[in-house]
Amino acid sequence: MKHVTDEELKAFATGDLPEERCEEIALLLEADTSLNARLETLMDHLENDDGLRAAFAGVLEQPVPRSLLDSVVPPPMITNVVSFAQAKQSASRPRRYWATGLSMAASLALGLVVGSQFMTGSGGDSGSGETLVLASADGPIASKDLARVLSQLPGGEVKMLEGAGRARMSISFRDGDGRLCRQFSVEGDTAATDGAACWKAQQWRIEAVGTRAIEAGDIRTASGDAAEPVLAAVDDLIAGEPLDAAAEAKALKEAH
Amino acid sequence: MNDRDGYAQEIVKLLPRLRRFARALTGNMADADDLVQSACEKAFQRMDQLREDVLLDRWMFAIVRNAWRDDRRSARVKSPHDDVSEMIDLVGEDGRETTDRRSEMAGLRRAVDMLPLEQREVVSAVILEGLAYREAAELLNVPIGTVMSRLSRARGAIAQTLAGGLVQ
Repeated sequence: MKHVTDEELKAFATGDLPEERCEEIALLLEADTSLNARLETLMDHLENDDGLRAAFAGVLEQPVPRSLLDSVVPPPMITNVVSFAQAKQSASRPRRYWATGLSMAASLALGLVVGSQFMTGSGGDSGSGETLVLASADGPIASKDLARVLSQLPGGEVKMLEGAGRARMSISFRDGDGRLCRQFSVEGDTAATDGAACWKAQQWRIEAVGTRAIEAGDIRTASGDAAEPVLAAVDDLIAGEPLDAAAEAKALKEAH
Repeated sequence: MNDRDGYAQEIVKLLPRLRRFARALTGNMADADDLVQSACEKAFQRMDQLREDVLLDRWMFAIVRNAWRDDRRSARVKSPHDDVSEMIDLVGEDGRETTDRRSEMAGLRRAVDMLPLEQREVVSAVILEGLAYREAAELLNVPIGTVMSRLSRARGAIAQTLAGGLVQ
């Protein structure tokens, strides 16, 4: 009978050995106290392995810092910023808020500072924009979770978005091109991400995003309280009046 | 969607694991985040070197590991500072976790932080990431026997630290 290695003992302990070898080792264990002691030590170590995974699990659960995300995701996704510039630029009224804003480096830098304070200053629960907006060749689009609520959630209603916060739909409206657009917010405990998205080519295109701090017990009105760049973007986009509940329900059927 | 955007989204999904790996290597979150960020920058510069048969996560882990080996800070001896506990405090735990349990986990992290770098690498790859010995050997570019012996020494040292066998 072969010598029992530590690796074999471990595999024995976790049930990963072929049955035949398993029986051999079981027989040895009955007779050999030193082997028993080795097994016990190994078991302790395996318990430590579980403990180690638990000890570092906090890192997995922690939201990724904004600065790190920004270094991975292309700059056009830093959208909260870009509409700052846009708000002052209503004369030309371009639809691509980031494209115009990106050329305005000063506004960008200002927005970045403001944005990252909101994103990280609250200890992570900040209506984390990073999980809400994805980059695409067509510019920023809503993540799958956000797209689902944009397509389904009626105005004025609230739905929890796992890991992001409370999604709340403000108003729905048509833009100058006839697209269905919605103003929304995702609220954490101390900060919220607001945005405007329009449905085009089977996707919710994010037209503007902004973050703002919220006070405890803050009560929101339908659309008044949102990050300044988002309000400016909505003003810019909207053609006519916001849709009423019936028109909204009908329009949402397009967005699937 | 172009390649960079596609990779960016895949890498965003990996960030929590990369941060955990980097935290285990560096011993603190600030260096870990710096390390992950510089590794991501390197990854984008070398995207054309990523072979189709290599998994993106393994490739990224290898870049993080090599970047830390090249970083002068890796040679620095850090004073123990348990920022993962602070991080959890910051997020706001729900109170289920007992004080005993938390100090046990802090002790485990301290035990890992005290290991030599080559052992922390193996602990991160095999225990935290769950790689097989062969995969860890490829990632760390050492023979499989070296992975096993480093891991065995690391487990022993951790157990000894937990038992109070090392003078602090």
